[in-house]
Amino acid sequence: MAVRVDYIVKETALNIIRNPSLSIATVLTVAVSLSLLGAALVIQQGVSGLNTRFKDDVEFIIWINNDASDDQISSVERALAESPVVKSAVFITREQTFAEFEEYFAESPEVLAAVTPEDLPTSFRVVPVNPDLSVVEQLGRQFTPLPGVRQVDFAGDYIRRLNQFSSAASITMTVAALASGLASSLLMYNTIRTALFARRREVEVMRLVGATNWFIRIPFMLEGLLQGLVGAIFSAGAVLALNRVVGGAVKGADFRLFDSFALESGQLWVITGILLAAGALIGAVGSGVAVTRYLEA
Amino acid sequence: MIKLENVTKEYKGSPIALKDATAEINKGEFVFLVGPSGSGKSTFLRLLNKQEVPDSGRVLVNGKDVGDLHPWKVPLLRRQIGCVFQDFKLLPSRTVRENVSFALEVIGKPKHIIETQVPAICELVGLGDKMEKYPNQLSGGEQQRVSIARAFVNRPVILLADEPTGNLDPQTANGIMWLLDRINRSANTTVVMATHDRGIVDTMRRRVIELSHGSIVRDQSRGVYD
Repeated sequence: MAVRVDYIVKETALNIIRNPSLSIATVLTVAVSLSLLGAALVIQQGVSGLNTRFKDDVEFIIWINNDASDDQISSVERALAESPVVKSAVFITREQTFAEFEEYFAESPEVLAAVTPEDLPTSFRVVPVNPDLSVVEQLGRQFTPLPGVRQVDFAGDYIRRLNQFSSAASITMTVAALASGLASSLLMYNTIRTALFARRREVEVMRLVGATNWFIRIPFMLEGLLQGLVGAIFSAGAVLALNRVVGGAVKGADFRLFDSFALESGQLWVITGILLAAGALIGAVGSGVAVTRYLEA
Repeated sequence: MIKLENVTKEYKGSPIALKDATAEINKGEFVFLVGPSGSGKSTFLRLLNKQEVPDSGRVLVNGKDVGDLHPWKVPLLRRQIGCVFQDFKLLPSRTVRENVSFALEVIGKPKHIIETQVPAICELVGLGDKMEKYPNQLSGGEQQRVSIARAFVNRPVILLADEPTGNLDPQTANGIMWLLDRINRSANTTVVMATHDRGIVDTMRRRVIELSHGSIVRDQSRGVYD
């Protein structure tokens, strides 16, 4: 027995046309649930981007005078290495600083043109053992009077607070994503069950004339898959729109801390892919499971 | 063709549906199952296409034990058994042609077979000119003819009919009986029909199996209702 493609296409199309209100309900359910999931993914990506920027735990930066001698630099380095309360310290060359500078002012070529690596200072980025603010500040001040040191900048309390907040946000969003995914599966399942209830006679007739269970399932699953996919397309649109709005707000601000919330297109494609796959899967599997209830011989 | 060996079936919380029933029906026979409501007629029929499984005893169709059938083979069994019901079970959103075609489509029959078989069977049941009508545009008798066409279009060897004339006036019922009789005689199809209709049973003078409280109390060839 070959499964006839034209039969399946016709049945799927008829099912959708004959039950437009339920089709729309299913599509909207998927769209709303997956939009939630998509928003959670966007925020989670943003938070993890934020964490990447600050997760190195750099608490303060020791800027070195441009005219400092190599001896002075190495004595600072020694002091850092010998200090038991310094976990690690990294020396940042002029070229590295310039590279960051280039990235920072990527959209302001006139600023870049006016600066060469030689104009920029070298520095040490220091990670202390104890990140407590008072300890860090006390430690940092010890380096201020050393020869060749121009200035000590502290990461500041607010960044660490933000860091704590962002890891909490990351966990919350993961939980929210899982919960909304579960909710959308259950909603799909219920919507499809309602749709199937309206067509239980059809399923009954199919069983009585000897249709196989898979033959009965396939048009329903294909219908669910299509509805899930359409819902997912709507949700992907919502996510792209959300990202555009957030991206616009972030780009407009001079505060670059939240740049990570404006996702790159690569990340957006991944999220869109996840949403489409989730929509198709939820639709097909939800329908398959729901129809199985009516197949018990 | 059909054999029940000491079949017992009980539904939870109800009086026993079938009690130690034994009967054999040969190919090409026409059998009436008679008895009051709840006497086990429908259960008898539902056991034959494995809509129910017996609590004990064996049900054989075509020499095969239905109880031993793999679940995936149940559809193949059902393709050999057509079903007609008191309430027709037609699909209201489909035309006569689509209702009958549906039975062939869902078992994967090729299009060219459907295109020749469906008009032929509709002609046979006397609805050749109403193929594009919807069920709600037809009389009760016509709807039952559609359901018979759907049950018979795949040329099953057995036709089960559960009170097929229960919703019809006597004259229309006679027309349906004439059709079932013709299917039985011309195609040598075994017909098992559960009925309350004394007039029909007495007129047809076919084999009668009488059930009472789940037991077979009479099995009579060329019988009458009581």
